[in-house]
Amino acid sequence: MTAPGNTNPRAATFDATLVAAQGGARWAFATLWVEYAPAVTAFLRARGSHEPEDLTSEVFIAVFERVPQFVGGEAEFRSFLFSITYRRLVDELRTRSRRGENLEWSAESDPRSSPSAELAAIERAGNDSVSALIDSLPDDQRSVMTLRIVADLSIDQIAEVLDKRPGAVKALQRRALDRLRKNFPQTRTPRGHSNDGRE
Amino acid sequence: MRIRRISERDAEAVLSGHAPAARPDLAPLADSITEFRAAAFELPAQPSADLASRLGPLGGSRISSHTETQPTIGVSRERVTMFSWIAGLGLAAKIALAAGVAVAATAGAGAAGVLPTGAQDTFDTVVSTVVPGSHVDESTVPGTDDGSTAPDPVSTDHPDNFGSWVSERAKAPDKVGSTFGKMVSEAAHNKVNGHAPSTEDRGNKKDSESSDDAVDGSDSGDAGGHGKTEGTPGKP
Repeated sequence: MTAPGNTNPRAATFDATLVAAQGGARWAFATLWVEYAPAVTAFLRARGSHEPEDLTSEVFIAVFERVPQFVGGEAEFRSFLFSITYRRLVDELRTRSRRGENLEWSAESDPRSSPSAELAAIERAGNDSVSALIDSLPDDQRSVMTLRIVADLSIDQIAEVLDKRPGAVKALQRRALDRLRKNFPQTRTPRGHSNDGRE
Repeated sequence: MRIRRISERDAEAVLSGHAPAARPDLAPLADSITEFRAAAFELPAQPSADLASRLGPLGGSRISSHTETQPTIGVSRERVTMFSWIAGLGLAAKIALAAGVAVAATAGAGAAGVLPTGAQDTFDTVVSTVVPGSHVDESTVPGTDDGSTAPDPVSTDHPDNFGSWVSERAKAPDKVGSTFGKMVSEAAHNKVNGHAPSTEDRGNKKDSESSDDAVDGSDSGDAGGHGKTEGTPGKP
């Protein structure tokens, strides 16, 4: 079921896709996948999933099975989608903590086979500047930040996904931003804003 | 130096990647968040074989054969490019693209004579109208079930045999999809203009659709539990 009385073209388009998906139309499943899978994978990757793509597929299989019972518009669908995503992530993290880390070897991830010192340095600098800082946040702050930045959810939506009060989410967000600002190198020149080499 | 508090409005701006005008001290943080967001989206997702079978041609045509042979390591540039392109489309464009694929697939199904009775009658009428002299009748196509005795489309391209040619070609397991729909359309166009379907077209078709093989008939219906516990969704 969809939200009634949508006059926004995007919302109306989403509603049409949702109705078709609830009827089992494969094109509608494909459309939902194309629209939302990148954010789900990005969130899982940013939150430290070791198999973000496999997990994304599992999330969407679960979503497609439950979508006939879903009620709401696009905002509610995002909350619904990321609620399932978050629970799958928690499952993976719990399983990993129980069994311990078991990483498959790959040439790309082997530090002994780094293609060049220069590339390694660039990679390290990038990690230091952005991802590593967010990774250094406590788990709940990190979840709030990745759900806001990558999944593009509002405070209320995050509260629903994490099963917390909106006020608590707001406080976590403020603490995370304060922490990032304190740890962030103020002298750093962000990527893509350099005028070097201009004629 | 005293550090100013980040207000709610400042936080919203920073999280969207913009430093508020009155807070230049937050510019590096806003830029880093923009970078973080861009980096997270660098590698688009590929559906598993199970999911690809549920997504149909748009979701699975170029994916499943890769995911079966390369489960987790590496993503081909071709797949990244395709999904980046699709991801860049608006929602309406994606729906139009998906619907186009569905229509093309329906054309293949109609030609194969496997649509429900009413739909099949309508399809036959449309084909007869658009392509005069054509008639989709499986009984005129001998021994095509196993494909081993399928006649060469070129040799059957008598003006009255176009329907048979479409029907026979559509029965091959790798002929359902947008490319075949396009192929039928081109062949119909050529027929009206008095040209035969070319063998070159057939060769290209075969090559381009080989990756569909892994999708057909693979709707195994795995519930997605995969041995893990499943929480209840926020709004089921």
